[in-house]
Amino acid sequence: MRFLKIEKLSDLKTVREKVTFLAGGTDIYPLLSDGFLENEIFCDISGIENLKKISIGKKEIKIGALVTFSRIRQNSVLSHYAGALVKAAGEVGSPQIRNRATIGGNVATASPSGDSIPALFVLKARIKTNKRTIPVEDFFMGVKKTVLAKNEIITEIILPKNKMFSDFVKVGPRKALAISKVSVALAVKKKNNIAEEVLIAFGAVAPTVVRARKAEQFLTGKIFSKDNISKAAEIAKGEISPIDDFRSTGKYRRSVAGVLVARILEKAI
Amino acid sequence: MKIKFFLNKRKVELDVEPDKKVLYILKDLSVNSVRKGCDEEGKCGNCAILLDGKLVNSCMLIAPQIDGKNVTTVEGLSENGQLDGIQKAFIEAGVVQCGYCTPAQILAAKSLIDKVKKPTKEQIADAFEGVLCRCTGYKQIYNVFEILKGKSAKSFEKEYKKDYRVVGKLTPKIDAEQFVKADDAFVEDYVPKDALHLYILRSPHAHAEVVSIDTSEAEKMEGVEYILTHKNSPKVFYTQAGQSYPEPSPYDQQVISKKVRHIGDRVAAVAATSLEIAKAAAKKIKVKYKVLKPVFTIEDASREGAPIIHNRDTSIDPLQVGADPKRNIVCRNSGGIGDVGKGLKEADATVDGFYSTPFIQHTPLEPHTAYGYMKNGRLVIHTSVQTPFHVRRILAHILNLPENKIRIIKEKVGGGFGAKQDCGIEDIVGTIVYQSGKPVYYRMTRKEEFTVRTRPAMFMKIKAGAKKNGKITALSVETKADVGAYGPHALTVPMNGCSKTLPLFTCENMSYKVTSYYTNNVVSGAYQGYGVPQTNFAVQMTLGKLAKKLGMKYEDLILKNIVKKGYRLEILKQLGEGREGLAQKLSSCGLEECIKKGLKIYRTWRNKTSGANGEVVQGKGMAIMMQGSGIPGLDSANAVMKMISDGTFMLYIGGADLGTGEDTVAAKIAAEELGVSQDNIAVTSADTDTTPFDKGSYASSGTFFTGSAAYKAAKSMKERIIKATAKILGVKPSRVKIFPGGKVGTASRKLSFKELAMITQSGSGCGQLITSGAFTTQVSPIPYAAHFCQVSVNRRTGMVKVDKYYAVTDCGIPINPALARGQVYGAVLKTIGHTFYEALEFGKTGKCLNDNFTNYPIPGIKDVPEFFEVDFVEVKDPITPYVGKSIGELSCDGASACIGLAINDATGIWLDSWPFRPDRVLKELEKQKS
Repeated sequence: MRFLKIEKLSDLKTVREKVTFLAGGTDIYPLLSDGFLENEIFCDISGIENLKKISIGKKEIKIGALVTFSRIRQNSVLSHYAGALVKAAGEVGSPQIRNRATIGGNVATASPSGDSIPALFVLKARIKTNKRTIPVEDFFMGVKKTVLAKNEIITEIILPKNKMFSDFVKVGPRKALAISKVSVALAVKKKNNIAEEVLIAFGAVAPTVVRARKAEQFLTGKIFSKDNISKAAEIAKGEISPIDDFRSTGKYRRSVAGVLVARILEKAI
Repeated sequence: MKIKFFLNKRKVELDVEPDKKVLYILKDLSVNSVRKGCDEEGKCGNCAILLDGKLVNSCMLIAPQIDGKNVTTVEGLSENGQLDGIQKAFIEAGVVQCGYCTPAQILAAKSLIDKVKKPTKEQIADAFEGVLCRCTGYKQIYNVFEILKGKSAKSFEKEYKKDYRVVGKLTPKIDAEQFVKADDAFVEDYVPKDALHLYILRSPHAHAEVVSIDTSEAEKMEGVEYILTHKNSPKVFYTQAGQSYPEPSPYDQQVISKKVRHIGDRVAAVAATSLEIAKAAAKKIKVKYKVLKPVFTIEDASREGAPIIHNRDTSIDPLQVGADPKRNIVCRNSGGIGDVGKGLKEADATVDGFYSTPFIQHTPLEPHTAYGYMKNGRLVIHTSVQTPFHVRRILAHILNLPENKIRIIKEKVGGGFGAKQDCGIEDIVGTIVYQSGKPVYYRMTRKEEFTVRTRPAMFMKIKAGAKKNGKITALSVETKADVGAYGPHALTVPMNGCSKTLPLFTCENMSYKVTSYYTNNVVSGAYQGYGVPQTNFAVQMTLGKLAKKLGMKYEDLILKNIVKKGYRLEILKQLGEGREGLAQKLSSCGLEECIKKGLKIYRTWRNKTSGANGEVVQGKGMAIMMQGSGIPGLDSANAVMKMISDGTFMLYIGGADLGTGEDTVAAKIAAEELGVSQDNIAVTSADTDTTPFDKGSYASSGTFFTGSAAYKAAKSMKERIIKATAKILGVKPSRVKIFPGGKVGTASRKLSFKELAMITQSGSGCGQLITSGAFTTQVSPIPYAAHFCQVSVNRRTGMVKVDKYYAVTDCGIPINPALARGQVYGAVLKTIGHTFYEALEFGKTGKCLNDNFTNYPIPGIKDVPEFFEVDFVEVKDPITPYVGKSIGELSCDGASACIGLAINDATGIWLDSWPFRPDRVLKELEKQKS
């Protein structure tokens, strides 16, 4: 195991070997003691100051990759424009974890139960790296797999500055520190109680986040009636096929996913 | 790499490996307060520090990340030996129990209070949600903030017994200060640098024979000092169970056996100069296994021709408890009173029920930890254990040594809950120390904790019948227990389930039958409640069904059938611990009072329907429970007391405080008896060399047994004081009295205890006043409780929330009100965890799938019910000094049934097996629909 450290983004050029980048480290450190990472080279980027900013522009919100979930959770501007993300940030681990864990790290780890990821899907985030900008939809390839190339790092998460209602709910065995059995993020833009745009994303039900596109389509242009909501929820849960494991059954995950969708939509009325 | 940082304002410069975790950097700097409760998963939060004022886990930080920063730990809070306000408030609130997580909790409080002076309940819960605690139930943490606002504990904690000065009064736990300061307290704080580290190579197979084992490559490694395998392990059979001799548990275990019987069973142990070397060496041990067919269920274990797990000689079992190893039966017992068949015939309504509960783990935040060494030809072990004297006896048996060649010192125990009742690691640590002559340290990982001790899986068939008027005419319990690979407590856990449920009722026809089976699952044993939480759940759910059938309210059925003071519990004669038991006439019983007090509040709770489409429905439930206070006729406790030269006292007890406050109880009882304040009594406990014999801390015996021994020693001290004073004053002893505040003499002439001590210890005196108290008994006071709860069930998600919980307890007089309350909160919350989500899950090969805090969740502060109250009824009982009955185990016995009955009240469904996971709730709701 070796450790490198860079203090400036421009120093990335000096890194020749294939490295694993280290931000808050909350996903990495538990693995250290298991000896899984003995041959790994780590590059600590936690000192790069200009990746720690949240900037609110006219059209966009840029969240530096090293912004911690504690800061996202406490940011009052974000709660206007990115309710789902703020809510998801509050669901990450515990205060100790939120004080260290970063949004960039959560995205790069690409865990199926990564709390911020479904939120980023419905907020139409783009992931900016030192090389390119990628829509979040195209970023994840599978369990812990992303499109990031060798020594490419996430620098910013860019969100369009939309005043949309969005929310995030997760179901776990207990209230804090829970690994989710299923999570739902949802964003709604409406006019006169008619859905102009609906985005629904599920976490922890498949290797990567699943969008409920049929349900979104069904609801778009329709009135927010109880009937439409329950139909949309029914369609949404048909779009996932979660598996059984010791945490829960696939059947349960699917049925609770539908309930969560309905619950958030009801809030949006 | 070189790093510089400030540790509690002091500059530290170090040259460390860049990947070194801050947890270990601080441990190397002798910072005790960073406690490791999980396998560095970031889940227990006990290793928290403040990094530039922010709460973070030190297991989730590496060296470069503290470079140039400020690190604060509780060691930095007290200045000039004076406690910080938060530390004081923790002690005053009574929220310090075992003390293992206390430093992290204090930092959580500090990180909050530094930002917000008067935090709300939500903010407090938010700040504490990442620090796991298994003892306290978190509830009294909220009181810490009340105290910080300037309130006194007396404004929210009641005191009991006007005529007492120490007992029933709010006094600090006598060892609390060392926990809030993180002074040396636990085994890990005392380990010398030269101790060898032990790594245990464990079996990957659930059932196999070790055909060959080659340690030659491992031995060659630099730093490897000793390797134990079945070849050089003692051949003696024993039980690890920490019970009084002769144990009702089978002698079915060796330190390392040639046969492995569960995944995680011991195959070899390597002692080396570092844990890394020991681990690396263990990897080089070549083991050839002959894999045998495993069995994981009672059905498979009892099938004709099933693989035999222990093909053993039962004649060495100290008590013959019905073992039939060829059929994988560990033990059997049955009995009863009256005629259940007749009782069922007489009944107007009968109910049959089948219930099951899974393997559960205790998860004390401090895992099993011990270090040992040889000193002057004697084996010394410092350990975190509940039964030091039993451990001494077991080790002497294994190593064929006289007991006086062994010394067991119990250090502070970071939670036990029964997991540490046994000689669980001292057998292997002691063997290696003795055989190698070298000092050895062993600390289990969280993962290992899940394989070495659990609560057995139990399957209970209950039959009950009653007349139209509600009189119960028959009640029977038939339990099958899957105790896993070995049999510690295999008989007594399921039997105790019967002996602490059937005697709740005046029913004349009762029977029980218990059978325990070996399987290749993890090893089980004692766990707080000891079979009662499971059996009481089954019994009360059955009675709930019976009440419905009769069209009665549950509480009316219960009130009609409960025992009262003076009732003779004939059934207890049948329910001994592997021998005949003792029938007992109830010397006190506050059960009816508990129920009636609770009902007053319970009846004001209204069930509401809420949520979209009325998806959330509420329901209410209650349950009654009992436990024992130690095992009469079987166990014993002793105490020694000395008056020292300034007239204060030393109290030596064998009892092993495991964080619950047993030392404090003993000190308070002695202080009350002698008319002095608690400060005047210093306690030394649980050291087999310096303190007298005590069975240890289990079976709810601490307050009654150890407390009574302290009482007897103090009473005898009182007599000695009076006699010695009479002699000095030249008067008759009958004229001498002890006065409060440490004075003794006649109305006209008094000596202070200091003067008395000076005179007695002088060259012309009678010698130091030393007394002892030996306690044995044929009866023990039974504690009772009634618990009440209200739950919300979400019919769409199957999720259940406990909205209200009210526990009313007859523990005699709460000797330590705040600590007694804390015992109840902790026990109830733990049981809420067991009820809803705690269960070990196994894969097809028998591998445990959730042996960590990431996948085995335990309740956190946010799982505390919004209304969570504890009350006591004061009860007189002539057989216990200062009327102390037990409380901790008792309080585990009711939550599951309470919740189960409340869910039924809300929805009509019956949940007959733990855990009540949402998917199961939903399944039952769906079944109900169709």
